[in-house]
Amino acid sequence: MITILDQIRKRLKAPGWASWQTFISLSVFSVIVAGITNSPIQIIIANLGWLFLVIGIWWFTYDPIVKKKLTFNGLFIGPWIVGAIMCLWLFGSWNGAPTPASFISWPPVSALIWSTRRFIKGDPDKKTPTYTVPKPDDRQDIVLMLLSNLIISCWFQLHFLLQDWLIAYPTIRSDDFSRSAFVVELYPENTSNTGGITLLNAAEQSLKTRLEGKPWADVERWLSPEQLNQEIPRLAADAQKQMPRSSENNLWDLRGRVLPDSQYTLELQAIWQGPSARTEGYYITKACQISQGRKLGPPATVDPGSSAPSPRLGTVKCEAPSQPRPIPPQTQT
Amino acid sequence: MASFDVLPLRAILFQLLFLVTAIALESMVLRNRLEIGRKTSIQFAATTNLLSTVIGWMLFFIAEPLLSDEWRSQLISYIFFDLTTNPPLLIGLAFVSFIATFLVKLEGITWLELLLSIKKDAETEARATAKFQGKHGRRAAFADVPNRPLAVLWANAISFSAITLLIGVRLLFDQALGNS
Repeated sequence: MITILDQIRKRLKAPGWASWQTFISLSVFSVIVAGITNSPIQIIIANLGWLFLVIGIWWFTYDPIVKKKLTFNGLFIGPWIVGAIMCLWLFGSWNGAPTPASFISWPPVSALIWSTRRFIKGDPDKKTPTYTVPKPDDRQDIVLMLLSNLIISCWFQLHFLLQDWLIAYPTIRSDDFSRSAFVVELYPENTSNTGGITLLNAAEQSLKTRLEGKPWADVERWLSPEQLNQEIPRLAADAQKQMPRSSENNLWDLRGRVLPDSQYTLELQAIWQGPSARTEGYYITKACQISQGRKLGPPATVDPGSSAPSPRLGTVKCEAPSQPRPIPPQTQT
Repeated sequence: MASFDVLPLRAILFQLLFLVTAIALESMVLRNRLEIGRKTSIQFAATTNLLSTVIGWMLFFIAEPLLSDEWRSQLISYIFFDLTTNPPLLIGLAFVSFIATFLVKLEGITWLELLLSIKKDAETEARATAKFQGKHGRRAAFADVPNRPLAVLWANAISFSAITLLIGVRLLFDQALGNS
């Protein structure tokens, strides 16, 4: 550790003005100046700071000792370091965090940096670099390097496309990706099916506002088969309105039915019609007990005091949502 | 902020596998059919395959935002769950990409020759081989130019067959694992 520090100090001290240390110091100096100035000048100085940093690092990586250390299997990775800093500068956000654009542009920018040396020829007479057309072998190398780096940037792009999809359709995140030929899930946890559960909870809320505390005769009429067929779509529309806006909302279908032989157990079904590992699709249910207020008589019901004298009121009590179940053929109408 | 939970690592590995297979097979075919040197054949195969892959990805990224919700949903099913909901479409796309890659590769070789000013080298190489193996060389000498589209077509056909085979093997493995 100390030897490394010593080395750094030695290297920082050594050379004259025309060196990479000068540019790094200029960059640090620019950061300090940018810190104490205000908006328009600050932007210019900050950009100058980035420019100095890029030049300094570029110079640094071509220092013979550093270059040797950065070469693996004959491939010198310096250009990708310079490219990373350049893309952070050009496409990063203000706090320096990388954005998708900086990831995607990183490989091709680095390949371009890599190829610059092949366009430059040292002039033996004047000792100044001049532009040159690369030799055919170099041209082949440049083409291959550019194309392969473009493929890598396409992979980055694919990654960000997948992330966009997962954000647009959060429900597929809870499904099983193990059969995919494209993606690997690093932490395959049992993530709960958020979309369906949100919809069912929203439906429960709307159901409660409709039935809770209403005269029992009205509740029974609401639950009669003909009426229910009209009421469920309205309930679904209400529940959809409460969902957070997302493009997958119209892929959730809400249905409901009164279970046979029950004194009103309403089963709400959230049916997923989007992409899924299960070919037939699946649904999540939530069973709601609808009964007369007095008979049920739990102490924690909604209105303890005010409407107590009136005995025949509807109460709604719902269970937690079920696990996803595959759709049996006959339910799918 | 970017998250790195779900990564397209399998896609990357498959792509690398397919690229290596295609470049190896195509360079062999091109070397035999065009009577060119080993180095040139590998240069041709590598450059054209990388080029067609890049163009393919670009087209995919251009086309994806234009998809309807229904089609995007099918694409997501295919990518995340390996469900082919629309086999005829898939076969059609494979056919179109076969034709397209053939054209890209044929043009790509011409561009590469221009870029590397390779024309002379290839001819001298062909003549050099002609000296060593008289019969093959003579045929190559006057069948070189008209031969090329056919050679590229063969190369493309063989690499596509190999990739199809690999995909088939993967499906078999998958089913065997799924059934057990």
